Amino acid sequence: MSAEQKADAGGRRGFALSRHAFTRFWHVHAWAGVLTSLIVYVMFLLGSLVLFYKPLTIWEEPLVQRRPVELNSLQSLLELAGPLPDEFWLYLPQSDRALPKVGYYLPNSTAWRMWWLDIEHGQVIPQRELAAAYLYDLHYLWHDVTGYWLQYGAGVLVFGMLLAIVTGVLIQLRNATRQLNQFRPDRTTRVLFSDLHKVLGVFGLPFQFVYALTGAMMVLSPLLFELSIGPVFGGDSTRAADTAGALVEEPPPRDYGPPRRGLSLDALWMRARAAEPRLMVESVVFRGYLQEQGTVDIRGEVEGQPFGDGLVRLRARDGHVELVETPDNERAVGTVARWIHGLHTVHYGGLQVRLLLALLGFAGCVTILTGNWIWLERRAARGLRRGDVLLARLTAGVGAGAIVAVCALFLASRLMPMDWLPRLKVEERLLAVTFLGCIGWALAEREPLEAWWRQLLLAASMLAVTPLAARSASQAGLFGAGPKLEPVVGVEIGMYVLASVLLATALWLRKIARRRADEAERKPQAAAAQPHEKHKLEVQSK
Amino acid sequence: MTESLSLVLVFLAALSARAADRHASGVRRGAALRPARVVAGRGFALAALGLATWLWYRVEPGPAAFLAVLVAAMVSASACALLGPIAPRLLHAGAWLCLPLALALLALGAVP
Repeated sequence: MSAEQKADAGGRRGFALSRHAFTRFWHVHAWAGVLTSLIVYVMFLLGSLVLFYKPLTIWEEPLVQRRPVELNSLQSLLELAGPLPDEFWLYLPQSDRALPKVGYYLPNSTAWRMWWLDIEHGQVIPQRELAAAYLYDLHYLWHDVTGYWLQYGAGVLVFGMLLAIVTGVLIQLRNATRQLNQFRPDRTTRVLFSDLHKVLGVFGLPFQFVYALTGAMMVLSPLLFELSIGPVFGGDSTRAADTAGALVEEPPPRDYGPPRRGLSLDALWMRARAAEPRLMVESVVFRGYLQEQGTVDIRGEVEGQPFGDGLVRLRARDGHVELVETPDNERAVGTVARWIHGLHTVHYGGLQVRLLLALLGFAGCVTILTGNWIWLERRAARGLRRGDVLLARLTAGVGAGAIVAVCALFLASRLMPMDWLPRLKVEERLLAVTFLGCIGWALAEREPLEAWWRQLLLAASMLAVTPLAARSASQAGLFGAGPKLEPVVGVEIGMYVLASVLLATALWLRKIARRRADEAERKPQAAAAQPHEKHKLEVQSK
Repeated sequence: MTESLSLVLVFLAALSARAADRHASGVRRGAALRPARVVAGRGFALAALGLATWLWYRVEPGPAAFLAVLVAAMVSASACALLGPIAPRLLHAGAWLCLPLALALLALGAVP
């Protein structure tokens, strides 16, 4: 049924949208969806995985598979770290981060680097494993090479997805209650994809909408901030940064004055705790380190507050409290930033909620893929054009390729020795090469379904082997000889669950592919047999 | 454990709402008492959701309780809609397991 026919059918049932509006919304939904689908799919897939970012960082780095180190002095961390730039972050030990670490941007670049501070042995160890960080950054299309422009592009694309969501709701509104539970897997492929798309799209609507909106606002906030400095704040970037507050992670550069040694970090911490006793300090941000106007942000959760992130800003030279921002003592912009951040990064609920959100994330990926497949099925009836064939193969390449690339990254991270210096570069390049290779593979396959099941099978195989390979790096996992650590075991169990799902899906798709291949073979044979049968009938009738 | 009990209640709410919808649409057999079954099913679903929210609120006050229950409701509703036609026995097994699971959690002190 075409969009116009559906609009007419809706009109006969007294539907509010006019035929013109319905048709337009239908086309906008279809085009917005298909144009943004593959990139948004990757963002949703990686986003679902980075819900478990902290357990992954523990799984991947044996150094932190221990009890959190106890600190006698915070200042000793700065002394151990050695020379530090004007702006850096100091992360204190937590239950999910056993060692402190320091991080900063390399001078005149957007390259972020971190070092573990092993205070017990007096060592500064460069971060040796970034698999989880790669997934986190790629989730919003950030990379040192591409910089902010691709991240901003991601934010804009997500608005395309929001448009697809809103128009999808409008065109299905009249049928929403009837189709809410309608899932007919025994009907045609097109009906299956359509029902799946609608069920997952409707039930997952609050999740998809909120995550798309908050994600877009998070990635676009630096750009919007930069654009507002001139027209709104008359070029006063300091006032703009003060007004934006927590909406902007990195304030614009400013002159912090001549060199001046400030109070020790321990003294500053005491003053911060005095200003806000409920603050559970997690990190410290230095700006203008060892300079006259330098500041120190003492950050952490505020006990008993929803999405309770708090911040105490002190002047480094004398500990004067410049700002205290907590959920019950903040400006409107702070509330907005806290809710955006808290919702998107799941600052509530615990592991169970993250598991459920991961399921919703994967369901969002299926919603996106089924949208493309519905597009292709509708066009298959009229004959697929080159663009449709390309879309079908790209959907397979990106859809399965992203999964293969992630699995390859995890496996490679365990196969390479932890102290092998080139491992970070190798991992990064492997991720890119695997992903692009899978896309090339899918483009070369005549039948996209073949690419799907073969690549999913490959991904399942790699994921199944990864916990075994992890023994070489750590003994805290499922197959390790040492004491088991909950996050490490949890990640490996998760890998086996995902591997099972991928294997089952691959075998199911293989079965469908075989059946289609058999049907395709039988059709020419049946057509070739028909003239013979006709001749037989003619002979019999004579 | 309180959170787990809350999630079990959300799943029961989703099952109940689905059953009520099937009664309302006439898919389920038995025209007699259909309106009553629909009202009872939906009423039970709402009550279960309310109880689930209250339980989660006891552990994590604030908006977290409503958000957690909403997330669980989205997953449960999707699972019920998809598993119903594909694996109805699995769904029924899940439903039958909910009550003993809820009782076990209660016995273990899930309600603070």
